[in-house]
Formats: sequence, C-alpha cells, structure tokens
Amino acid sequence: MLWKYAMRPFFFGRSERLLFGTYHAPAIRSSRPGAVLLCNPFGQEAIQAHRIYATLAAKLSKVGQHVLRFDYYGTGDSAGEVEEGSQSEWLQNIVEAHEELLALSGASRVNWVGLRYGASLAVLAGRSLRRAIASLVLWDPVVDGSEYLQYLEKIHAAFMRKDMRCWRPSAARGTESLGFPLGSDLKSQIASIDLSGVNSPKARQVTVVTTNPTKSCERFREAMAGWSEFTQWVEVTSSSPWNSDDAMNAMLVPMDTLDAIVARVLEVP
Amino acid sequence: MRERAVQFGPGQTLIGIATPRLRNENDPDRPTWIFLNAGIVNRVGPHRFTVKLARRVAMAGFPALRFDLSGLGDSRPRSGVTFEQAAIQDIRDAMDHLQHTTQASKFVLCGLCSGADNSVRAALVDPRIAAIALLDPYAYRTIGFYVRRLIRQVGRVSSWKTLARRVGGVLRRYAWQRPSAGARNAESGPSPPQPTYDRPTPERSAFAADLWTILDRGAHILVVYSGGMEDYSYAGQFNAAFRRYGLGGRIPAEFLPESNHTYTEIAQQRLLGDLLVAWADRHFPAAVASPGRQAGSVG
Repeated sequence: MLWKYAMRPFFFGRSERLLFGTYHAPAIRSSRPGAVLLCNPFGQEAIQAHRIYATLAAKLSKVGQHVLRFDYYGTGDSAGEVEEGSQSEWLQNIVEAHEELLALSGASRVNWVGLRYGASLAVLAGRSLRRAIASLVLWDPVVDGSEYLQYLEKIHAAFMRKDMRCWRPSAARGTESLGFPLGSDLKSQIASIDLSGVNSPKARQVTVVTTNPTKSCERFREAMAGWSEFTQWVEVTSSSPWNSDDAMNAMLVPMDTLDAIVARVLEVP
Repeated sequence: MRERAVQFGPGQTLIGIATPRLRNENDPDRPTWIFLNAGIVNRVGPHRFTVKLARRVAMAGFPALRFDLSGLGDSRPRSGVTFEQAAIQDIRDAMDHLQHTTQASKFVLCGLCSGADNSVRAALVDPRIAAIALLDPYAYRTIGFYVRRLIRQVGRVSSWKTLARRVGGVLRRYAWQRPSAGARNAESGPSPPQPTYDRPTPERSAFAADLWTILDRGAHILVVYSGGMEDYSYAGQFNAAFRRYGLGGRIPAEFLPESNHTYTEIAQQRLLGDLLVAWADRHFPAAVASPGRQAGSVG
C-alpha cells in the first residue's frame, strides 16, 4: 500500500507518554521491500541529526523502503521533558517504534539504523527482541558511556566559551549539555554503557559505520569478532564533521555516509 | 498536554505541532502563539528551546503552534518564490489553518534571529498578527555601545598612543552616524556602520519605519536581546538607537546579558519563557482570573 502523502507526522505509543514519529512511505515498489527504523542520538546531536535523518529517510523511501524516524520520550517533539525520561524508557521506546513500524508497513524485513548514542541504545534494545531483525547499522556508536559523558561536558563548555565573551555558567558543571539536562540517574545509566562488553543484539547482520575511529571503537571491533552474527566494519573517512563544534548551526549532511548506509540496507538478504 | 501533529499549506506539505492551552480554554481574546524557525534549525528549535517555549505559553493559557517554514525541517520547499516571500505565505497558511480548525483569530509571532525578521515581514502584511516577540532582531550600535566597548578595551591597551587612536576611531564613527534633526521615518545623513552580522541588516530608518507601521495598526512588539549579540551590549541600547525615530519607550526592550544567542543554558531558557509570558499576560489578560495558577517550567 502506498500512502497518499510520502511523509506523515503522527503521535503513537502509550497515551500518557506519546512519542512523535514521522513515517515515510516507499516511493516505489521495490523488489527488496523492507522497513528501516532510525534511532536518534541524544541532545543537541539529535537536533543536528534531524536533517541527516530526513535525508536518509527520503533516500531509503526512494529505493522502496518504509521508514520511521521518531523521538524518544522527553526529546524532540515527543511528550514530556528529558528529565522525566530515562535510558531504560528510551530502550522501551525503540521497541514501541519497531512495533509501530511493523504495523504501518507490514514488512517482514526490518532494519535498524542508530547514530551515536542512538546506535548504543539500538544495540541494548535489540537484545530484548523476541524475533531477530534483518540488520542493525551502527553509525559512530557511543562505545563507552563514561567517555561520552566527558564529551558532553566538554562540548558544552567549549561551545559556551566560544559563543559568549564572558561566560558564567548558570548551572553546576556536568548537569546539562547544550540545553539538555543531565540528571544523576541519567548520567549513571549512560555511564554504564560499554558496548565492548555486551552480548550481540538479535540481528542477522550488524554493520558498524565509523567516520572517526577511536580506541574504544577498536575495543568494540574486537568484541564484535566474537559475535555469532555476520558483522561488517565500514570506514567512511571523508565524511563531513556534522556534529563538530563549528557545525553546531550548519546542519551538515554527510552524503557519503548516507549512501553507504542505504547500500548496506539493500544488501541485506 | 496532548499535542497534535498538523499538516497544512499547499498539498499539506507544511508540518508542525499544535499545543493546546492548559488554562482559560474558552477565552477567545487570548491569541495563539506561532513559533518560527531560527535559522535553519527545525521547529524543535536550538537546544529544543522552541518546544519548551510553546509548552510554557500553553501552560499560561495561550494555544501554540511550532512549524517548519517551507524548505526547513520537515516542510517541503515552495517553488518559484524567494525564501522571504515563501515565509510570509507559510505564516499566512499557518494562520488560515488555525483559524479554520480552532477558530483562532489573533496571533502572536515569535522568532529568533531570522525568525524575528520573518515575524516583522508577516506582521507588516497581515492584520491578524496582534503581536510579535522578536528575539535578537537587528541591532544597531550607538554611542553607548562604543563607550562600553572602549571601557572594556582600555584595560587591554598597551599604550596611550593606542588608546588615543581608538578614542579617535570611535569619535569619527559617531560623528559619521550622528543624525540630523530627523523625525520618525526620515532618513538622515549617511548610513550607519553595518553591524558585523551574518544576515543582511536593513538601514536603521527602514527598520524603524517597519516597526512603526506595525505599532500604528495597534499591534504589540517586544524585543529581547541576548548577551550573545555582538552589536548589543547594554539594556537601553534599543531605546537609544531608535530614540530619534520616536520609538524609544514605545517598544519594551529586554536585555538578557547572561544568555547566548541560542539560549543554550536551561536557566536562560526558563528566564526567556517567563519574560514572554509576563509580556503576553500584560497585553492579553485572561478574561477570568484563574485561581491556583501555577508557574510552568520550560526546563
């Protein structure tokens, strides 16, 4: 079934904690029909990723895929505020969105794509699925939660110092990052992330796309070697630095990375 | 608070989120707020502050809509028109949609930076816009601006020769931009120095004329400048800059020196939300006082 409109914004999920989603219907009937769920990064990276995910969704739609992008509870256009959400709820949100996409598309071949913190959440959420998804694409995943928290603190201070001649922080250090609160519960949940030590998610294939390989990425790569699923590592080093300090308001779209992801989704049997 | 996803405009290709008011449900005199994109950031706003502001005004009893102008966020571009022309039509389409679906008849536009510019453009041509809240609109330097900058620089000068050169530079610039006995809407003398701003800034007189056109038809204007504006450095600068055009004191001008341009810090977002609601409450008071009113959080 093709929708009247190529893109449809809507709310779904539990009535008291509604999630905002945007569904992209396939623009063509494909010989390889399938569906793709896009998992957002956190905070300011999610805002910078909006254009990237909209572009990726349009590309996937053009090759015949159903696509759902959505906001976790308390983020983006979803109900609630960040401080009312938690990492455990966001893992549940991914499963809710997955079920919504199944209902919308009727597809049997479902892929998940996660960016940064969204990739880490996808790995963790994928362990609780009853049925394996076709593939999981992890784009520059946050491998080490503690390192990520340090990054969030560092980028906040760097941006504010650059933006204000005489910046006097209005909140205690480490309690917010670029407009997004970092409560102690959320911080401890994020700090607990260590992808190099987790069991494999329920996906027939796992692809990691890296644009800036780090030491923790290498640890993850070694850990993935022990997973039973087919795994692949793709390095796209020419990619635009979409989440750099300089690109804060630029909304860069790294087309080379998107093309690599679309190709990977279409390759999955 | 149960928000709705809405589609409107040509082919239903403009996309936004409508927020119902939480109080004073049957108060037709309270306008609906429409929040515009800041630069190229989608309707969520920089650091999600537009979502917080929309919910903050809704908690105070004003319905709200945040949406993506055509070509931004999730809304499709319009063809055959400039971005500025498209923005005006997009805003009118948003008001038509709200008028049709919620019987709203009056609107407040709120936008940061380019969103402020688009608010002014739309308010010039559509009388349904009862008020505009401009966040970091165009800023114009004044003698007070240069004096304050000089004072900051004095501590850094290496010699009296350097200081003398800088004082001379400021005086020359002030003499160049000092107006003749100009009345409102009257251009006087050569152009003032253009601020180092990354969007084209109109002549001061042209901007003043636009603001007067909006005021003259009975609409309200609020301007809020952040500490992140390179060309704005003290609380009275707006009044000083527009005094010769008769605008000094006619438009409330707030200065939030601790905020950066995009209101990154949560405390500053809250401050801005409180300020906007207080201003709106003054101009559009609730028909019936609501006991047990609670202050909303935007954080």
